[in-house]
This record gives sequence, structure tokens and C-alpha cells, in this order.
Amino acid sequence: MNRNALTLKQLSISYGRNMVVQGVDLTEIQPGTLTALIGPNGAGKSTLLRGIAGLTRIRGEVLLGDTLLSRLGPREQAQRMTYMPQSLPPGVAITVIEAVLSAVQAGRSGQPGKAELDQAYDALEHLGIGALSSRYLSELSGGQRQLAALAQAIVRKPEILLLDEPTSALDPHYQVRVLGNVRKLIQAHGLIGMVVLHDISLAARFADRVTVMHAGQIAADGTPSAAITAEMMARVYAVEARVEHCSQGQIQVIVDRALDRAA
Amino acid sequence: MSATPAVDTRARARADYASLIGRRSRLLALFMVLLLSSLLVDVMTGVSGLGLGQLVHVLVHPEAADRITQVIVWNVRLPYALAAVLVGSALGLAGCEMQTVLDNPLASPFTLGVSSAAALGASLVIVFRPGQIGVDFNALVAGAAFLFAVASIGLLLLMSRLRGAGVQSLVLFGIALVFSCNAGVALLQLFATEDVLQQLVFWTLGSVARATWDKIAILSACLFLVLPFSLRASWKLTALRLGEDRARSFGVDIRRLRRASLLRISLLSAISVAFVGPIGFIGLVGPHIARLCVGEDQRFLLPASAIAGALVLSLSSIVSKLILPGVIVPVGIVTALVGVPVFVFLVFTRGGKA
Repeated sequence: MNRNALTLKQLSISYGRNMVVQGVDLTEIQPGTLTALIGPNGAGKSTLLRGIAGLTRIRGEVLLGDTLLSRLGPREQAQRMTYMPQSLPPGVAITVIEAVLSAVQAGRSGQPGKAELDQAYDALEHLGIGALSSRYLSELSGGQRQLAALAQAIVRKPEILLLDEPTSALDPHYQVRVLGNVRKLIQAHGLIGMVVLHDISLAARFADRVTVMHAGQIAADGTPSAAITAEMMARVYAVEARVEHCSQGQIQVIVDRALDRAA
Repeated sequence: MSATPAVDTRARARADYASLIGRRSRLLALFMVLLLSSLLVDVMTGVSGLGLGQLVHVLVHPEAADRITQVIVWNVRLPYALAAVLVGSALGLAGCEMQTVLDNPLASPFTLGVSSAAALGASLVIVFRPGQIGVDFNALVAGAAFLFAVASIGLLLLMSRLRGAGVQSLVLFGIALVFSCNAGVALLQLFATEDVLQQLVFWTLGSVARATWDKIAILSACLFLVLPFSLRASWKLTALRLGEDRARSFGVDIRRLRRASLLRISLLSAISVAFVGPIGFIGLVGPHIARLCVGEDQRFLLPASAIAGALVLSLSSIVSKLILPGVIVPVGIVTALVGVPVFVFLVFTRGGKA
């Protein structure tokens, strides 16, 4: 099990002259916890996640314990973390089991044997979709496809799990099912989880830590109730909002109206 | 107590997977049988009729047959028919890889300008006819076509390295190459004499009638050299089909995969174009036919694309002899006539499921 925390030091990412992520520092992202990255459109959340995953050129450092992840080769990086982009393409004519096997086999040579097949079935059964293994991706609902994508991620047994908007376009059943599974996995295996979310209430409900991004920088960071405040909603999202605490302790954000934006 | 539901599910899943693999393997075998039948019919078809018994006899005892039949079978029918199969599989395989690495179902081996560059090379030799340098004219044309085709890919890989390995810049540069080479060929045509012009046009209508045993040996060697490398990359290519970021996150070195794939594509398509001229459509439709039948697990799709390409070109070769009695129409003209009905039939009957 992994005991090292993830640290970002002065992480910057530019697209041409446009600096999308500007000197982000995040410390002590602990194993067994889920961190939600939230923020308005264009705040740099997904870019930051791709930067951590090694998919885009960065300045600064990504550290796991003492290991400088950003200096490792692509292969070593892929062994330690798995990045899951927004959705599995439904138009590719392969079955769920083949999709999961491709996650196991892509980084190595040879053909899958019984052990690899078992790993893939374990991942699917773990997520409660064992019965879908021989279905084609096109036959799945959006939510089922997202669970299949999650199976691809966990079958690789990473230390760090990076998920880019895994619940966008899903109905409430699958939103809760996907994030509930993510949370369970992270806690059970001591993974470091980071997830980009648009839905603030979902972030508050499932994440241990909420990091709010605004214009490429960290605007707030802490426990859900510390990070998600009416003041933050006004400053970052330009909305007048109430942050209500429900009877079960969950945070609910109710947006009343849009404020005039400076820009 | 009976088995737990999880074990039940697992057992059923295993059985389903085994039957899926079995079904696809059987489809591949069926493809092979169809291809061999088509090859046989292709050898039997021609101006002078040749029965199956007679054919087998000439093949098994060439020395016992009369001289004319010998020549017809061994120097004409067999090399042409085999060339159709080999070129078809080379283009089908190359097309399949091209569609995956460019993430574009409309791509073909010629998308990035390989055939246009080859045409320019061939046209230069045909127009300027370098005097007596002791090399056979047809070999010179093929050599120039090959050289230009390989150079075009070299240029493309160099550019992609300079500009980063983005697919879009690769495609844009490839298309620029297509237009530049076509412009060069058009310029040559403009100043060519009538006789030379006819040769130029004829070269651009691909034809298996340019096949010789030497060419067949080189083609098969190239195909058997490349195919194992393609198959070795099959899981990486499957992952790439699911998205570039996803594949990279699975540990696939995308730049390397793409470079190696383009190298295989260029070798296959450059040799094909150099030997029989540009034969369009096979590299586009072969992979699509294969995809409709065996799906996109590249372990099966790559070989199926090769066989489907070979089958369409072999069938086209048969049809090319039947259209006008006594004339072999260049097969490049016929491929679409044969390929389109097969393709449309599959689209309507299978509807994208394998």
C-alpha cells in the first residue's frame, strides 16, 4: 500500500503564450483520500490534471513522496498513475472485456493469459458490471460506459487515480454509483484520488478535500465546508449563492442569481 | 449450496469471451477460404478457357502441359492473380493501420501522399526517359516510384518530429504533399507528347498486369516482414482507438507507435504502388469490411483487413477480365465497382456490429 503523499510545487502549464495553470502549489494530497478540483469553465482544472498525469508539458514539480514523478519516463509514470479522460468512445466496435484487457496489455508485449483475464473480470465485478463483459461499448448506457472506463483505470492498479469529469452527462443514479465506487476504491487500496467535477454538491458530498481553481490559480483549498463558501461562490463563480448544511451534514449549494462579471 | 452469483457470472463471462474469440477466428478462416477460392477462379478466368482439372494439372506437372498453356498459367495468370492477393493484403493492412493512427475512418494508405509522390517519381522517369544506363525501363519507373514514395514518408516523419507529433499537422502536411505532387505530375503532363501522355495516364491506372515473379517475391517478403510487427502492436493500437490520452495513460508511447506504424504503412504502400501503380479504394474499404465482420479488436482486425483487401482486389481482378471480352481492364478502375456492393451489403446487413 502506498504511504506517500502527492505534492505539486509551482506547477505551471502554458498553451503557446497562454499560461493556463499558473504556479500551483498543493501539498499533502494524502493516500486514501479523494480531492475534487472544481472551478468555472476555463479555470485550468482539466489542464492541471493532465499536467499531473504527464500528458502535457509542465514547469514545476510533481512529487510522490520523494519521487519526482514529472521526471520519470512515460512508462514509469503510467505504472504509477492512471488518467481517465471524459468518456469511452461508444463508436469503437469492441466489447467491454476487450476494452479492459487493452488497459492491461497496451503497455506490455504478448497476449493476455488467464491471469490477465482474471484481473479484468475482477475489476468489472468489483464495479458490479461483471455481467456486461461481453457487451459492445455501443450497447452500453453512458453510465455503464463510465463504469467500464473506471474498470480500465483500476485494473492497472495505480497509486494515483486521476479522473476528468467522470460524471458529466450521467444521470443521478450513475453519478452517485461512479463516485461512490471511486471513493470506495480509494479508501480500500489507499490510492490518491483526484477528480475534476463541475457539480459542486457532488464534490462536497464525495470528496475529502476540495480545491477550487480560478484563472489558473488556487482560489480555495480545504475540507468541503472550508472551501465551499458563499464568499468563494461570489468571487470565483460570480454568483450569489447560499451554502446550506443539510440535516445529514452534507453541503448543498443553492444559486440565487448571477452577479455582474468584471469581464 | 449452489455456486455464488459472482462465480456464475464469471463462468458465463469466460464462456462468452471464448465464443467471441472462436467466432472471430472462424470468420478469419472463412475469409481465407473465400480468398483462396477467388484466387483459384482468378487463375481460371481469361480469354482462353481453362478448366479446374486442366489448371491443377498444369500447376502440378508444368512440364507435361503444352508450351502455350504453360506460359499462360505460369507467366500471366498466376503472377497476376497472386499480385492481386498480395497487393490487396498490403493495402488492406496499411489502410487499417492508417485509419487507427490518424484516428480517421476516411484515411487510406494514400492519404498522406504516398501514391501521389510515387506517381511523380514514375512520371519523371516516363517523361525524361534517362538514356541508356543499363537498367530496364520498367524497373526504372518502379524504382523511381518507390524512391519518391519512401522519400515522401521520410519528409512527413521529419516534419512531424519538428512540429510535434500531432495528428492534425501530420494530415495537413500530407495533404499539402498530395497537392504538390499532383501539381508536379500535371505540369509534366502538360508538356508531354501525346505518346508519353498516354503512358503517364496508363501508369496512374493501377494494373496487376505489371506483376512478375521477382515483384511477387519482394511483395511477399515485405508483407511477411511487416505483419508480425503489426500484430505485436495490436493491443497498443486497440488502446489508441479508445483515445490518445487514454492510451498514453496505459503506458503506450504514442509517438513511437505512430512512427513505427507509418513506417510499416509506407513500406507496404510504396512497394505496392511501385509495382502495380496506384490502386485506390482497397486500403479504404478493406479495413471497413473487416471491421464490420470482426470488430475492432486489432488482433483480429489487422489480419482481417489484409484478407478483406486481398479478397476485394482478387475479385476485382476477375471482374476486370470479364467486362470487355479479350481485354484486361486495369484493375484500378474496377476496384470500386466490386468493393462498393460488398461494402453496402455489409453495412445494411450487419449495421456496425461484429
